[in-house]
Amino acid sequence: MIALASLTDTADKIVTNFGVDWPMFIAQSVNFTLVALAIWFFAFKKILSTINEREKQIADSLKNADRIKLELEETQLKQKDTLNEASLEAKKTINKAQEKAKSLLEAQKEEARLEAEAIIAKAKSAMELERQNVLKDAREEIASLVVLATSKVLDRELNDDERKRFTQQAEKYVQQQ
Amino acid sequence: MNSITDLIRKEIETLSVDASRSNVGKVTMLADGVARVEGLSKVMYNEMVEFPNDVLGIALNLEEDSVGCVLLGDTSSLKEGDDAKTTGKLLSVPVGMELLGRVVDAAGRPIDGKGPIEAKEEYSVERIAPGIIPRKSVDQPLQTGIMAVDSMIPIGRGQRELIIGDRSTGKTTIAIDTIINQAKINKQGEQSGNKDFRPVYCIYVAVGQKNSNVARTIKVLEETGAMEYVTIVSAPAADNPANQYLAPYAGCAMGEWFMENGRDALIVYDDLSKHAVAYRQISLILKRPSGREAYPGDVFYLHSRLLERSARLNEDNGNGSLTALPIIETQMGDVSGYIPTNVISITDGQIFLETDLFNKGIRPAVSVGLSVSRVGSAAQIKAYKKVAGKVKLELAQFRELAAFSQFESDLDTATKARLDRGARIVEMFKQTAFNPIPVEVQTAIMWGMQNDFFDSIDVDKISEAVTSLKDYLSAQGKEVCNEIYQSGKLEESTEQNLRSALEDWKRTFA
Amino acid sequence: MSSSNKVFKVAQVLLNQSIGDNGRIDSDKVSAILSELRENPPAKHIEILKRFGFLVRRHMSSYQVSLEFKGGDGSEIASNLSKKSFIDENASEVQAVDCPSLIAGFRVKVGDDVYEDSIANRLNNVRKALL
Repeated sequence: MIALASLTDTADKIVTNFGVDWPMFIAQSVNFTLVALAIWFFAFKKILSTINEREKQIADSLKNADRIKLELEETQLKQKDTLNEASLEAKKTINKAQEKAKSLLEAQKEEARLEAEAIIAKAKSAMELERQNVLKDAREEIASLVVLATSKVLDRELNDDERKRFTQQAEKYVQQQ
Repeated sequence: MNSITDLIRKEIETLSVDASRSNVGKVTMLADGVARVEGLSKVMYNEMVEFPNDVLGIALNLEEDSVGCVLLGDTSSLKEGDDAKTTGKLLSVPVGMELLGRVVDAAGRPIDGKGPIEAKEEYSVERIAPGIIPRKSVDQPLQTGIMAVDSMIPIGRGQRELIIGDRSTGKTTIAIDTIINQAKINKQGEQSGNKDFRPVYCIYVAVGQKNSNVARTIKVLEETGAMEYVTIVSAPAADNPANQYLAPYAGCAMGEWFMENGRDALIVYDDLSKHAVAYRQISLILKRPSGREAYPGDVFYLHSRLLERSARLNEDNGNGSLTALPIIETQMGDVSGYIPTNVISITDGQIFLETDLFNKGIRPAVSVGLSVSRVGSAAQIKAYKKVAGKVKLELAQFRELAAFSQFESDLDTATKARLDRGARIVEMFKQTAFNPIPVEVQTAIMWGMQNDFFDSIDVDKISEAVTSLKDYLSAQGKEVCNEIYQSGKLEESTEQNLRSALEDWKRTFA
Repeated sequence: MSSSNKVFKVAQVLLNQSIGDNGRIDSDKVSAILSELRENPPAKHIEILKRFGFLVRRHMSSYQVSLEFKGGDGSEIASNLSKKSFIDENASEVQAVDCPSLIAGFRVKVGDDVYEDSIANRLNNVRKALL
């Protein structure tokens, strides 16, 4: 009790010496608490939530950035594959076209050869036809000449008896209609 | 020269020379290719009469006091008072396979400068048509290669199908396309080695045509390689009317040889209007009484006896056929004229070509409403029947609805769909000249149309699409086309192959 | 049509008047008819004359036989042909004419029928066969 009383005395002395004004102190404490509460409710909370949000956003962005990086890598791989495929297809098409061109060339060569043969055959047959026509004309001329010559010769050479004999022969073979 | 004298000597040795017996007359009048002869008491109707300088005539008018003969050939050397002699023969023309690839006149004499025709047989120009018993109904298709015709107005072997229209509407083009298609099919069939394959041989009779037109036709046939299956009988406008009158009968005789020897033939008469005009000229000069439009009274018989000779014979009579495509030219679209109505009543259907459609760019300008084939789908392969069955109806509906197409925004979906489909079908049927399409390719194209492959393509791009599809089918789609050609049917597997082929094509068609 | 019937009838009457007792055309009667027509021409007398001429020719061709020959005697040939019943010598008027162009043989024409067996004809047939 004495200690306590001495402590209290000391405290009183300290307070007296250092000037703690208990009513003031309590009033100040109350003020401080009120202000602190006001600040906490109207400002601090919002600030904290904003800070939290910002932190979250930053964290998300970082995550997205990673994901985008991954996707970019994948896309680049796909692009490469597509280009490879396309170039393969192009190569195939070029090969096909080249083959087709080759076969077309061969076909055209064959066509030209056949056409040349056809022209030659046509010319040959035209010549043959010409020859046949000439022979036909010659044959007709010769036949006409032969008949003309025969008739002239017979007219001159046959005597009356021979003519009579022919006529009698002709009479013999007459048949009634 | 030795060969000639040997030939002559041989002929003289084998010659049997008898006395000659003939019935004679004297020419009392000569005008416009007709001679009036007094005498000839024993001449018979249609008998050949011989005049001086190897001029022949045919006795057409047997009157009490004279005989009227139409003269064939050059008559400038004849005069009044000349003698005329009967020959005891009817006018005959050479017939047989030797005539293929040749151009001849109405008497069967070659005029192409390729030498004489070594025919083994001769048929007389006027013959009696087959009766009822030897005939069989038409059941084999004759593919013209023209989609508009093969799908909606199919022609069969042994049918008579009239091609009628105004001048410059594409009548001859349809006939020539048909001939070219037969040649293509013949070549394909011969290469396939199929023993049951029956080629179709063609005869084109040009009556009263310009020489330049005939020359152009010959050129087209030669360029397309069709000439080796064709005989051309030419009686151009410059020929005397007797030749123009006889040419169709001569051509028919040549076609009958094929029919009676178990083969199939196609004959085109281009055109019968000029034939009727030539007959009218002869009749008027022979002073026969004239009737409507100055035509003689038997102008119906003129064409009926010609067209009745085209028939399909049954197996007992060789199983051959002669298909006729007569062509008639109308004036100002008047199908109710004398000659057109006559021939329409004789034939088994008509393909009517309209000038309006032609001018609109729809070529071939076939009027679907007025055209008909009385043989119908009996002359179509099963595959084609399946895809083409509804087309005529769809086009008819399209025509009905087309009047409302200006109110397109107010129409319901079903009507719009019909209009779209109809417009696409009209575009699909457009075809360039001398470009017949094989039946299997036609089937594939129509199948594509029926299965909506063309619905996403603009109407004005349909022609291009059809051409592109045609090219695709001739190259990459050969297998599926062969399947259709060989089987003649559209099995499920074929349809699947067709679907994948068309899908492939559509991807490449931008 | 009735006018041509009249012409035909008149011409037929004239023909009947031109036939003599032997059933053949009498040239005197024909001359008389022609001079009568000249003096008194009827209507359409040219048509009548043409028709009359045709009827006379036709009637004459029924009994006239023209025989052209070379080598032998005309009347002998005619009687030989008659014996073979090829022609009726008694009923017909046979006009036998020497025709050097035949070279040898004969040509007989009865109405419109012509029968010829001569060297010229045989040579002509040879020529036709060789062409």
